[in-house]
Amino acid sequence: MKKHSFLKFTLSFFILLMFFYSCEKEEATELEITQETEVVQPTEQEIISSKFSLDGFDGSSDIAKNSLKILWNEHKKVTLEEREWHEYKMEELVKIDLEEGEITDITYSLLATMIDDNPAYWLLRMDSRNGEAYSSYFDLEKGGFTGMTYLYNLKGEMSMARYYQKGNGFHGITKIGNPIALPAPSASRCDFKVTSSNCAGTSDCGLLQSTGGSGCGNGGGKGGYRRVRIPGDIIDRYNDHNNDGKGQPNEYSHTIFMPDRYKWVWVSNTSSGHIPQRGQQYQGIRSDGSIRNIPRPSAQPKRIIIDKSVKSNPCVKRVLDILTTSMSNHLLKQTIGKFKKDAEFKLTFSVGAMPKGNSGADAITLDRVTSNDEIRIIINKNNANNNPLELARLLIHEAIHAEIIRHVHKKSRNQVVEDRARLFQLFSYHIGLLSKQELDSPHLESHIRKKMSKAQHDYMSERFIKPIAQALHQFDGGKFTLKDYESLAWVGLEETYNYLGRMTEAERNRIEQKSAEILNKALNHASNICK
Amino acid sequence: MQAISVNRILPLLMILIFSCKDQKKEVNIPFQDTKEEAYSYEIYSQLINGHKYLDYVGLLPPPPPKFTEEFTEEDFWKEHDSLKMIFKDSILKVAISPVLFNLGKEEVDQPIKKGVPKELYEKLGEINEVNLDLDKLSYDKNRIGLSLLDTIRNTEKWKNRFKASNVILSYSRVAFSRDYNEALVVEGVTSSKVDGFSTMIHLKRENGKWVSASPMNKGTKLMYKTLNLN
Repeated sequence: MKKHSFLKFTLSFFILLMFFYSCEKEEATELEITQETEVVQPTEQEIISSKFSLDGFDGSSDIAKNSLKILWNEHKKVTLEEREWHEYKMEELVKIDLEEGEITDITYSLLATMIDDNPAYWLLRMDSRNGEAYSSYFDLEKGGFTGMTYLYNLKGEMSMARYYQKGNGFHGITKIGNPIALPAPSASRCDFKVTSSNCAGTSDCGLLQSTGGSGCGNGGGKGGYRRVRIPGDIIDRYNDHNNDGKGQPNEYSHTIFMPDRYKWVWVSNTSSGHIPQRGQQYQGIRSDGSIRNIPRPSAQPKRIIIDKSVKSNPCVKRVLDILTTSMSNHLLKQTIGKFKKDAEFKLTFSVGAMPKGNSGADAITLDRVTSNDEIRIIINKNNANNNPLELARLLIHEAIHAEIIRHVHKKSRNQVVEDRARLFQLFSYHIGLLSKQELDSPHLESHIRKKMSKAQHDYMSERFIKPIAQALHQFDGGKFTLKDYESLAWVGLEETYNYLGRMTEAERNRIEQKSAEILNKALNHASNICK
Repeated sequence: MQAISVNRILPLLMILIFSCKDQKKEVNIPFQDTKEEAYSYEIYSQLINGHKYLDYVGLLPPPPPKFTEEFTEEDFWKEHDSLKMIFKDSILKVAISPVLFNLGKEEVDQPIKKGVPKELYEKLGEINEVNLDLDKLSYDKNRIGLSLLDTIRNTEKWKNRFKASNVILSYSRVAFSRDYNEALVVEGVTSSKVDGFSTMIHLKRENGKWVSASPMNKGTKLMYKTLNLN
């Protein structure tokens, strides 16, 4: 009886199965017939927009791709040498701030053309030098564009660079291996082929003569293309957890420094050199972890930080407040003022223990520029509630060191800094004194730092005695003459040639005595703000 | 009942007492063995000998901002070299901190210098302090006058510490690899009450001598290159 039931079940199952299968097949057949009749060909524009993506674009190029938006509806079609070119306007969602320099505006557009039914793309960047922003490659000539243009493929590799002067396109640099000839101005051109857009010098680029005639000059002997290093962009990041696209002061997270880039630029013979311009970007980190460019926040991150250890040492705090706020044109204000304008370095004042290796010091500047580029001045906590005038001179001395360190680091990163020829002459002189034994020794680093310290002190003994004296004179209410306060300025400079080699013993003794007298008076005076 | 409680507690107490004693013993051990001590003083001596009188005493004039027909660059170097000869026998007065310090976790937690093995770095923060024995140092007594720094603050001696000495040196304990072929030590150099620095030095033993084991700190290398080029 069981066997019978099983057979019945199985048969029923198969019948039902066949029924459903035949139904589905009929449906499928109906669908296939429907699809065959509704095939629609996309337009060239649709193909271009649907296949476009910047995902593979190298992030280390000088294009902030996450801030670019293609305006697919703002489209232009141009035929050049029997080839159709499409150009789409692009806008930057958030513009990057540029340091002052030759480039006044940077704009972008997207060029595309069909090659064997597939679109090929080039992202165009136009660096204008004539104070006007341009939106189309095809307007550069008639619009009198002056500046550089760069074409990048979708991998972020530069395919072409060309300089324009008042709409006149100069000879360009084109990468070999381009599938088609890129659009060029009608003026005669010299497309000097380069094997790589990353070549560093004329020997591997086979490039450019700066006089007219052969090579990629402008034919008039007035310049040529140079490969220059552009310092990497600085990016301030903010925690934008409310996703409002704005950076508040308390949302500031950290600053990152992009690697340096290399670009082709035109340098005229009359120019002394190209001034590299770095960009400043601001980015918000959203609640989902994604990162977007945000506009410049209304308040910048703090570059001069008064550590809480200072706030809990009322004497140091009062002295620092007076030096940095109450006194106008004060040396300390001027010195640390350079940090305020510097997006890269920050200066921290703190009170605490000296590093274990320097417990004999009363104050120190840590010149190890850390990954977040902080220079730190530490006042020994054992000196923190003592003599305000002593504290003032320590702070001024250290602040001068901190600013010199900042200057040297910026120069080592090839940034534009004001010329301090004498400072660098002294550095070169002292470092040049390193013997072969010292160069080979295991503590070469220590030797270098000693030399750097000596150079700084020589420089300070030449340039800063009077300014320090003026600052202390003002701070102390002028109880003594300006000349007397020069005695105090020599602290930390007693081993320089200007002190040991040029002064007599009598002069040095006088400085010592006068320093002691002034400091003693400051300590015991009724106006001592640390009492 | 009391007897039973005591019988239970007493063994526990004994265990606690003896384990505490063992810990105390560990803290008091200055060097693990004679090799560590000998190698440590070898390193300290080598580093001390690397300091020179004219590094700290400004008796050689720097070059003028511009050379002239009356005083050329050649004249400058002649004067420089002859002055150097005058001071070649001068003695550098060095005060050395009496304690070989322990770097401490806060300073050890900084980013590790490239090339330095992590375990050496960690060891530097763990090994205990010990007093320096001046007699175990061997240095060039014709060039260097060494004395122990008096570290009691607010005394006349302390206030005049930079009159009595040209430079104050401080050293950490040396962290060695197990095979004693690598070492890590910190040298602190303080030349005035407002000037000093510390350097972490990574060494390896080669043919019986201590030589540099790691490349220069990247930041210092870049600064050196920049300053040398100008």
